[in-house]
Amino acid sequence: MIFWQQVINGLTLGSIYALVALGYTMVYGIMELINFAHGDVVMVGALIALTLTQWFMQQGLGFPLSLLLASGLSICVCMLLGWVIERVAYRPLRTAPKLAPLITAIGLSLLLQQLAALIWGKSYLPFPGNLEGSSYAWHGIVISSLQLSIFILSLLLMFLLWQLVHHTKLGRAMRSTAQSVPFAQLMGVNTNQVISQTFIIGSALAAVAGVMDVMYYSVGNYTMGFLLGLKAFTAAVLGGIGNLKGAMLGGLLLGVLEALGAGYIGDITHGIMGSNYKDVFAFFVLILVLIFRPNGLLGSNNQEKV
Amino acid sequence: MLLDVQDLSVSYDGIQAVRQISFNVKQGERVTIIGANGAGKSSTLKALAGLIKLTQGRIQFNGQTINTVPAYERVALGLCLVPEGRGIFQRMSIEENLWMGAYSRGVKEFNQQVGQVYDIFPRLYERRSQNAGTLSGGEQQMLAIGRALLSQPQLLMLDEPSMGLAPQMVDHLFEVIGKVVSQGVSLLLIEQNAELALHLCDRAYVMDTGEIILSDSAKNCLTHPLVQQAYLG
Ligand SMILES: Nc1ncnc2c1ncn2[C@@H]1O[C@H](COP(=O)(O)OP(=O)(O)OP(=O)(O)O)[C@@H](O)[C@H]1O
Ligand SMILES: [Mg+2]
Repeated sequence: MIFWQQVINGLTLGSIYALVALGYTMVYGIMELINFAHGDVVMVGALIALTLTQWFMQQGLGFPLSLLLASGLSICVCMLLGWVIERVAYRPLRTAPKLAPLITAIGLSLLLQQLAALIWGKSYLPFPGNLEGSSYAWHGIVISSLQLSIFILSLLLMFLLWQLVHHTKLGRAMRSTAQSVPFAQLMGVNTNQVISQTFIIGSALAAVAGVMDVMYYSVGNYTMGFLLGLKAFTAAVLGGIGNLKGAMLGGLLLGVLEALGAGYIGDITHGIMGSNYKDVFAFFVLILVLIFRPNGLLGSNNQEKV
Repeated sequence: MLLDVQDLSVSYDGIQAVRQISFNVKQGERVTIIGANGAGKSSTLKALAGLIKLTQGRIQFNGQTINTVPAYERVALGLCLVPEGRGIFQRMSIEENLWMGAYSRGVKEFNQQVGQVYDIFPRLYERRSQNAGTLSGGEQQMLAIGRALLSQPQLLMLDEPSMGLAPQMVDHLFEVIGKVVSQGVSLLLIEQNAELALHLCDRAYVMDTGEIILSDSAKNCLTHPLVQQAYLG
């Protein structure tokens, strides 16, 4: 029973990882850049939603409406943030050596964290409202309505993103830009605009993931984006970075691996390591993938990017 | 005058690859630029398409100076380049590649015109849902040209379409190019295979180390000693 329970918990977490991993993978696919500030966009999205939900509730609105409004605003702010990040930090470095944007990304991540610390302080903030909700039990496996909502909403967003990338004009523009910027331009694609839009879409997904994460753990903090970002990045690498399906699969898989690891690590190590070591699993997985399958599960040398 | 180029220069890191060349293409005309490797032919076309900046000169297309028009807006004006190496999107299907050709025109236009392209290139229709990367070199060149047609170009610029193709395929390709341009599209063709190019085109420019050293009708060029010696062997 604990096995299936952990799988359920893992899928919930995993769908959050997947949403964040998609942001990494889209940006990598289109410009071979690892946007290490992406995890901190998730944090910004989470904390804005947290604060605004509280504020709307203080204005007398009900919890569901407050949450909805706060999430909507948080998504908008993150989309703007994603756009600004690309314009200000990455675009000027388009032709610079690869190391330059990477260092910028790390600097940006620290900058966002410090700004968040100034705005929200360094302590853990509780998510307002009662998140208990109802839960469903089935043969001893419990799934809460929050878990169910997270899972279903994530799947829906992933499905929509897939449709967008494969069956719309913007999606084709994105895929052609990912394959070659000059060739895409020859087709009439405004590649700068497409890159901006990629950041905006990725950031919107990050905001949603942030709201989910802060609700799932019911606390938020200015550093929360770091670990989540690193795990989502691991998920993207696990699936094959640059590959959309890979990010989705990698996210879900990592979530499940981590949950199972947390569930069994005590037994395996005879109690030496407890479930508080679960974060180790993500990085264990990262190392294994990098050693044995550096292109990821779905990646090949000629992988389908974006 | 469809295309009028004055004093065009291109440099890479301060080294001049194209030196103040002037040439033109009239409406409905077929013009070829021939020249040895490294003469600056591809650089010229890239500058025309907007992929690289010119260091000097003026490009007029349909009377409009387009020096500052970004590459992605030049397609909509009717200026279309099939680059060296074809520029196929390997990981997109053949049909999606064609769709990209009509990107600047729209879905409606694509639906109206794609049938004509499939008529010219039946092979593409048979394999339309396969990845373009699975096509042979010759088929990819056909796809590149078919895709270019869907952008409804006034001037079609082809950079060495025969590159890497078997002789038989090259003959077939040039037949197709001839058919395509007989429908009113103007052509600016770059070719290593000078003989084929000169037979297809009305006028020719010969380039050498960044300069135009000869400009004449294609017919005259075929018998010109310089061309005979250097390019027709
Ligand atoms: N990206 C670049 N950076 C530096 N130099 C370049 C670049 N592209 C071309 N060159 C140089 O500019 C000159 C002209 O090159 P270009 O490709 O235009 O010649 P070409 O006539 O098309 O030759 P080919 O027949 O071999 O295709 C060459 O000396 C080449 O080495
Ligand atoms: Mg060339």
